[in-house]
Amino acid sequence: MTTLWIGLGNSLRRDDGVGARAAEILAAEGLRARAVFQPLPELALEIAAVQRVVFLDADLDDAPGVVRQRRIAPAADPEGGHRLDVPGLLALAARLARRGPEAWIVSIGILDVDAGEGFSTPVAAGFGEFLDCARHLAVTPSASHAARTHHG
Amino acid sequence: MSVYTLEIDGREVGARPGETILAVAREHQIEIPTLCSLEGLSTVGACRLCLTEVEGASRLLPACTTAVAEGMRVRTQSERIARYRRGILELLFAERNHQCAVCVSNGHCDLQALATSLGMDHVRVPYRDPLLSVDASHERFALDHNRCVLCTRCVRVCDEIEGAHTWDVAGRGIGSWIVSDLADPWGESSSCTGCGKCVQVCPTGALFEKGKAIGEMTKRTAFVPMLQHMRGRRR
Amino acid sequence: MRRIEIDPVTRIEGHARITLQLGDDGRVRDARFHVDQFRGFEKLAVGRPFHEMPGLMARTCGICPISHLVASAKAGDALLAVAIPEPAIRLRRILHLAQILQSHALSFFYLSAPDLLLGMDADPARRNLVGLYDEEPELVRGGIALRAFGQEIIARMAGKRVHPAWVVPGGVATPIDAETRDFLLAGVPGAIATVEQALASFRMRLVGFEAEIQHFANFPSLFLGLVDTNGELEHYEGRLRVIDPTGARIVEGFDPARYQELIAEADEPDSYLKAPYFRAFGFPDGIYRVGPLARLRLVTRCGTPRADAALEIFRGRDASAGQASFLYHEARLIEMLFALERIEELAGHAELLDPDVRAHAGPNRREGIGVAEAPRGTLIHHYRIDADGLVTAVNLIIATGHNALAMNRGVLQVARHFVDGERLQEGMLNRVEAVIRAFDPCLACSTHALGKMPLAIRLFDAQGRVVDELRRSSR
Repeated sequence: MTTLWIGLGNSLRRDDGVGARAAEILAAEGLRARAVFQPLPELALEIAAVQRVVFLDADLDDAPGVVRQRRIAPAADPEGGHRLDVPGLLALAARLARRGPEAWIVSIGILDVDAGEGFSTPVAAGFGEFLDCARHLAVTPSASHAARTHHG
Repeated sequence: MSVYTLEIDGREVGARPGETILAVAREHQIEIPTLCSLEGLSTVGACRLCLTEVEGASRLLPACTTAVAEGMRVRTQSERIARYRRGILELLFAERNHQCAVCVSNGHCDLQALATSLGMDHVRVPYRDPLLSVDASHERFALDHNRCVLCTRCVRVCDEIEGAHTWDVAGRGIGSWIVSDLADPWGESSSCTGCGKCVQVCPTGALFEKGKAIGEMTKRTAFVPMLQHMRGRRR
Repeated sequence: MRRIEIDPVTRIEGHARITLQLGDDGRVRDARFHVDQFRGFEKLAVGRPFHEMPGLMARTCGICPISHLVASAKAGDALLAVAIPEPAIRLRRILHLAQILQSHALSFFYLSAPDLLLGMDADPARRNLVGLYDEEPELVRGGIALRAFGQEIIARMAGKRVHPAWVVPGGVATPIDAETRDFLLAGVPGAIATVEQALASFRMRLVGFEAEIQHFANFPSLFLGLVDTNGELEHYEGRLRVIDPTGARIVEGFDPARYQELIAEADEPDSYLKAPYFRAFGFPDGIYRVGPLARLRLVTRCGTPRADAALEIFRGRDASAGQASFLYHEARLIEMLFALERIEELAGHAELLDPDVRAHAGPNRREGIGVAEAPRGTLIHHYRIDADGLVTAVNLIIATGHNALAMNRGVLQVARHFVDGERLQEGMLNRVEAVIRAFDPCLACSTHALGKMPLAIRLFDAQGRVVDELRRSSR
């Protein structure tokens, strides 16, 4: 019964680092969480070993501060070499594990990707919900399929 | 001896006349951020990071230079204060070249620690990117003007504790800079004793021991009040 | 005359583009490899204390920071004019071999194996790591673990950061502990098995690549690199050896600190990549190659048993294949074997954990040169300092730079052989990119957008109008 959280983003580019920051917080709480700049093939080894993987990422196309979660599936025809996108990474992990973990992505709309740390006001305001949403996706023995749904 | 009663952050505290808000706050474990202030040195109120709200005063007052008064009501934390403190740090970072990631004091720097603790996570004013030099003419130490925040701790420790007064500030305003003797290279200074106290009290990587690689320069400042105490006793 | 532009070149480290000039008959007349980004590292270090240089120079690149760190620290050692402690040399060697391991693993398994094991003309949608997994699951699993092993060695020894500053002038900052040593030793056998499997797999498929072996930058050139005092494979120190196309040694036992007597640098007007050449032969006849292929052609032997056995097979083929740059791939695999065997040997040393890892001194010389064999070839850091130890001048010759002339000539050769300007096909242009990938160039760039950026190939007519366009989807 294991869950792996993978926070994506650059913590020196303001809101872009929101996923990575959330992963750091979850790791400090003792959860199995990793903060990375980008999805690297090496992560597939770790993903293949868990029951559920939760990606935490920033979304430039969404309204700032809005948190969403959704299931994601492995890519059918992934591309890429030393860097993959998330569905490509899942496709690789699915092969390594024969049957890959259940995968979720929790995203938050972002605004400011300028050089610097910390978040813009709407992202800072939504960060608590973002974290809660991520925490609720932990696989628990009693409720392994009852992940809470935010905003559809 | 009379005792004043005042209020800091809603707490009633006692103080001796002549004490500063900062001193009283510290006696009562109330944290006020500082940069230019250092225990054992005189107070100059240069950095303004210790700004506090005093009831009845229209502007913010520095805790390090404002003397307590009977019935004073002081706030050390508020949204306004936080905004000012962050703004001050942003200006300090924008004024010279503070590349933390490749600095000898990375991870051991007062300025960097303040930015973290006060939530100054980005700089909204344009960086000035001035072209500044490093004075590495001294045999054991170097002064990197890129990292200097003009807090004058070096000037004061050299004058007040070591008694050499090698360091001083030349120029005005934004053109101010730290000089040794008559703006001579440090290594040619006739007054410098080479004691290294200035290096130890410098809050950033501006003054450092030569030979240190990135992140290797750590500082010790506990000796300053001890020396001040011992010298005071001898007089 | 018409022009084809490949922008960007994919599955390489960094951003570059290729232009092909076509004649009226649709055949390729000229080809150029351009690097359009300017970094300026040689300027921004001026005025800094030299002890900061390794940490500063490591930031030249997020791909091989360790090689810059090592070459820079060695230039620093030269400025201190000290002999650094033996335990520090051992630790630096292990760290540097781990860098070679992870870099070669990335180049071979992630970037090139899809072409090599699935075929140059395989469906682009399947010609990637995931598609490769379906064909060779154990190999991909092992390849990923191999790179992870190299990365983890670096993280454990030098700190969990992209840009560690653990290597310093005079040695290293701290000794390592027994746990790290045990990690090193435990990981080697599995890693060796993976490399040997990859080597077998690669050799089996070589027969299908006769055209690529013939035409992928296969031309006579000089080869340059460091070898140790016995003429064996050496990545950390040693003397420069240069061989001519026949394998004859034309430079032997040359002090790398005198590199400027051997190498001159030309600036190409259409690229920010400097183009060094062998001084005695002039420009552009002084074309030479560096890196894994060059090193294996230069050495008398590797010096470790498994790598030497692999080298013998490689040499058998290399003799018949002549000057084929296609064999860079196999050379990388052999170097991975060597790196693993050497790491095991070094990590087993009785004094590995010795705390005496740093020599302290001030600037004792005004000029220091540090040279190492980076994954991609000979890396030279050359600093001048003033009497106070502040940097006054920096010259860097990066491994990819040495190969600039050879890459250009290789692109032209491949384009002439494979590209038909009348009928553009994806597989033709994949080969033009693949010749670049054989050199594994590292353009030290921060704009990695692989897998997202569409690769556009445009065919221009004499007026500069686009007459044909081929687009690789970005998903």
